[in-house]
Amino acid sequence: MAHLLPFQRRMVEELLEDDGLCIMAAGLTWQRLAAVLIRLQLERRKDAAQRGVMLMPVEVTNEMLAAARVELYRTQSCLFITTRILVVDLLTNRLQAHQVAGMLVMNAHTVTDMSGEGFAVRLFRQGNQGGFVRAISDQPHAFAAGFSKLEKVMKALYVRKLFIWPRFEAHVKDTLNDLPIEVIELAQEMTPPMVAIYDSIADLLDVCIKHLRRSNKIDTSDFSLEECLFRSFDEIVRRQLDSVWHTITPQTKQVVNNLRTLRTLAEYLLCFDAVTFLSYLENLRAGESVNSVWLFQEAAHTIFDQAKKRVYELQQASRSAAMGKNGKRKRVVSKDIADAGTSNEAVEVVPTLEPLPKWELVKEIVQEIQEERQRLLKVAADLHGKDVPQEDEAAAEAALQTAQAPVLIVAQEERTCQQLRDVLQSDLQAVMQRLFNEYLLTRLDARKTAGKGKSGGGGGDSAAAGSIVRGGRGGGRFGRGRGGDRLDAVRAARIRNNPKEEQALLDEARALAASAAAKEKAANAEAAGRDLPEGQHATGRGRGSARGQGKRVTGGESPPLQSVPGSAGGEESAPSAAGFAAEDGSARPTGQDAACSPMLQGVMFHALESRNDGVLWDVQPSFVVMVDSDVAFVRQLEVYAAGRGKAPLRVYNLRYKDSFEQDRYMAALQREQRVFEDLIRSKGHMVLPEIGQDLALLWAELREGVLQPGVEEAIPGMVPAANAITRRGGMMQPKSKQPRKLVVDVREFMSSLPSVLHQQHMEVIPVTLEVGDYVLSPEMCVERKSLSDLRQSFLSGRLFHQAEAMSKHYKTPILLIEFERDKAFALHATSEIGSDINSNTLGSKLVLLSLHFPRLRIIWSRSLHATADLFRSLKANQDEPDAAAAALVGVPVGADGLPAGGGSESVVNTAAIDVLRRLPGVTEANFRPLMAAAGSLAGLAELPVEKLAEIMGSQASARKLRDWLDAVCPIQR
Amino acid sequence: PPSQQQINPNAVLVSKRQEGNPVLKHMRNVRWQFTEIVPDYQMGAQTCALFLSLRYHLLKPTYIYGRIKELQRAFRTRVLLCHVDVDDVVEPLAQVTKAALLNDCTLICAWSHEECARYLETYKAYESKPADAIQGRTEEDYLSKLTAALTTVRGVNKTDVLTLGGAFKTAAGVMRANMQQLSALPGIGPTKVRRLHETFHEPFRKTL
Repeated sequence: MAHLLPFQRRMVEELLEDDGLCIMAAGLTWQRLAAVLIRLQLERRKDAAQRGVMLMPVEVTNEMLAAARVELYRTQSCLFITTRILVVDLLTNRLQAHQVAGMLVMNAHTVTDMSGEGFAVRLFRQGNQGGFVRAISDQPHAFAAGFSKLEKVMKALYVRKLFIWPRFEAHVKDTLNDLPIEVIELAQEMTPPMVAIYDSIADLLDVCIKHLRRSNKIDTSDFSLEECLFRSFDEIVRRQLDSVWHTITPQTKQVVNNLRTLRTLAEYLLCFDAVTFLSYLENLRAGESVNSVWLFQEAAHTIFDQAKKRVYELQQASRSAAMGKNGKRKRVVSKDIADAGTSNEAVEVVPTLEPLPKWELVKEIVQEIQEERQRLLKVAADLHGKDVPQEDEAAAEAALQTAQAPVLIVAQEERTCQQLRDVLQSDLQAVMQRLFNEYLLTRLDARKTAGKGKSGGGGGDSAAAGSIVRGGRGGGRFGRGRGGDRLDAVRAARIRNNPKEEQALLDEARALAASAAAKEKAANAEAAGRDLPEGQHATGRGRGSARGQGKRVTGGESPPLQSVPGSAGGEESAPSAAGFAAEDGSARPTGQDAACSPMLQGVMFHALESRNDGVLWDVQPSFVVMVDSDVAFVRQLEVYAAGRGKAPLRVYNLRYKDSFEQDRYMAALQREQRVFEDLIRSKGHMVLPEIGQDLALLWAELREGVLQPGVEEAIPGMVPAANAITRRGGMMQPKSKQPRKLVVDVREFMSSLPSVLHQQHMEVIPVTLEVGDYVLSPEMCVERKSLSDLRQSFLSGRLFHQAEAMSKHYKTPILLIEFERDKAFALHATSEIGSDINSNTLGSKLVLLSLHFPRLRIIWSRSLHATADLFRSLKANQDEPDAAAAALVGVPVGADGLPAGGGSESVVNTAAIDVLRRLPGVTEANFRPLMAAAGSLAGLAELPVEKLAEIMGSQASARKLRDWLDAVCPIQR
Repeated sequence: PPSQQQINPNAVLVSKRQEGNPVLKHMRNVRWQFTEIVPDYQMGAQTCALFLSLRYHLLKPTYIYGRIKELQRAFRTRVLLCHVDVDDVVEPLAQVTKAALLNDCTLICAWSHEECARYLETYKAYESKPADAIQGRTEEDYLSKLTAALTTVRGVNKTDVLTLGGAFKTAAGVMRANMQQLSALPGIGPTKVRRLHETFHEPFRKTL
């Protein structure tokens, strides 16, 4: 504990003193607090033999046999455990509450009385009065959402003490402000096209907000453009709309989606390079529905135009090859791409390839840092060994340490980190060129499949045409009805690339592939000591070799091993000779290169999204470059710096001038401050019953014998506590003789229903079920679906199979449709009903399901509590379910007549099975053998067609599957 | 009165009891005619429906039991079409659900007269429709199939499918992709990367 900072020490002391909930500001290293608490626990429980040994807590997951878990509970003193496993094991008495010393709950903001954590704490508290419960959260704003969230969390945790640690707390302030970090702020200008795109996005957001305002469904009085740029904005809008979601027009829903799309687009503009941004935009355009509001605005046109301009421009094709060879070109770059398309001239692509402005800046900074480190090394070397005074010796040592400590470059996304690594060790233009080459080649590959006509895309230009037709079919945008179709098609066509432009890009791609192939051929030829063949035999994809190619060659004729700088790229985009020299060659040297590049010496990367919060302490950097800034990370830096004492730390903070980056950062700080002030205020006048009262209630229920499995029936003469009645709303006094057993699939413990059932005095028995989610009696079996699950499982066909299996094994199969209490109680939006029968609505699918399974019953449940009440009344005249029998239902029987696998425990990858079942050629009959033979989807991808035929028992299905797996994905642009 | 009425096999048969029910006004996609039948609506040889408004149920809680009893065993699919027209639904709906469940009826809830009518129409129209539409069979073209397969993974949207397809070329390529390759893609954050990777690389079934 010696190295804890003063405020961290106080945090620990507080939480050790009494059970409680600790809420701290993001980035104040809650991990540290948790680690100390765990360590103390471990030390305390050490026996004599373990003295001096560093013990580590053990992790318990679902990939562990029950018997192995029981053994761990017996022998280990400290365990990490997922809530689902904890609840299941407490319910089955594999782990007994009175044997647990206490619980440490992380991410306390996710706790509710219905959540897994709440369930686990309740089960623990029932069997254990003396143990401790300590909870930690570093997300204060989560407690500001919803009505009296804080009280609910504390009640669910059975704690009454609240400890609040904002950044402005006196102890924290004293410690962290003591040693301010040296921060160098650098503001980078955006390029003019970026500014244009940025402004257009702002315009579009404005349009969307105006739409929302007109819908009259939402209080937009305090909406501003700035707020749209926050993630939380989506939540605010959704929260306002949730209860009336079914009355909202599809158009308004679309606007809400569009707002989110645009916000992410604004983020991506700042962190994606120009080529990636363009291809992301193109994917977005292909994926976006025709009902999209933003896509058809004038400003969207500007976004596409400018995004293209950052990558390439179009110019009229050179008339003769000779001109091309001389490198002289008529540069008639058209102002508007659409103009170029309408003229009769053929067009040609000229790359402009604008690098991301921050890249240059990062390069400069790293250069500076490397020089600084060299200087420090020199200083250290000069001082070292000479007869110098003590303090100089120390200074030399410090300088040496600073110079040798790593440099940490921090960005939001993993891909940015990968790219920056690339950028630092090679020329900017070369990096851009590589990206552009890949962009072109992807186009070519996709074109090939389309050309084959195999995948229904049709040949050649019909791909583009097809999408226009598709664009029109949706119709009805803005409630205009079908009359708008043609107009829509025209608009859709406008924002798509025109055929000529597409052709030019393809020509470019072909030339690239050809030159790559020629190059490869030449290299082979040279290796064989033969003459160079004429190029132009290029037909192959040349993908592997093109990847590492640092330059672009227009034709296959150019001598392969000789650079022709700027033969097509034009002067301004011609990479420096040095860049060429470094990058030329058929394959990019990998690992080796990284090691010897002086720029990357001692440089490490960290992606904020990886959530590896310990990175600063693991890496111990003395220079940090923040490419993207984040409140939590800045706090971590402060804590890290405070722990380092006098050792210098220099931080570079990069941001774009006049972008929302800085605003967002400041607003996040302000929001946190506000939330903390609210929390402190509500701590003052929070009303919670005495903890003793809560616990007494819990134990009174327990004595009633209605909660714990295996406890004998109610003790005669025991009057239930008065509160227990009000809690049930005064209705349905459970009779002690009523059957209460429910068999529940263990996977269902991810949801809240088991917790509520347990609260409502049912006996919940967790078992792995093959068929159904809940078994109420030997005759009744329930499959639970939330509205989104229902939609998804109709699409995947999963529900059909589930209904089939339930109907086969149970007399009364039941589908439970679960609505959320705070959302609308309706299956359809009023607007969805329309004037015709639509086979895509949930209602139509439900009709079809009930026609095919006439015995299937449907429960429409308003809330979890309604479900629980219904379950109880349905069980009234039924026998209790048999857990062992329920577990065997639907398990395939092996050759020996016994259930396959002998009822052993297993972990099922449901998502993978769903994907598998949707693949062409896969049927009900062959998916089980496929699962067994392939192991996983990745395994399936490797199986040759012969092997597949063997497994699937059909040559045709196998071929269908293999062909589909290997078909190249067409791209609609 | 004509005792021998012409019965149109393509029409929904409606009991005289339903005269004046506003639902009938909204039945526009299929024909319907009044006849003497036991249930309220008959949408096929084996399919019938009883209509119940929750508000009415609150007034006469035993009505529906009597009606169900009258049906005896005549139909294979017996729908209890419930018009949810009260605000506090929990208590009455629980009663209706129980009545339907214990007496072999399929409960269908609708929130408006239009929606009620739409259900009746759909039952008639789908009388002999195969189950393809709910068996996960999707359109034949490549992109819809790829979209159908990949969007099974939670959080993955159409744009992501195009990004994945563009980056790895083939479905097999997507399935082979490792963590690092996935996280290099634009617009696909760490959560989606983890989910995709788990879906493709974790075994279908791991026996412990």
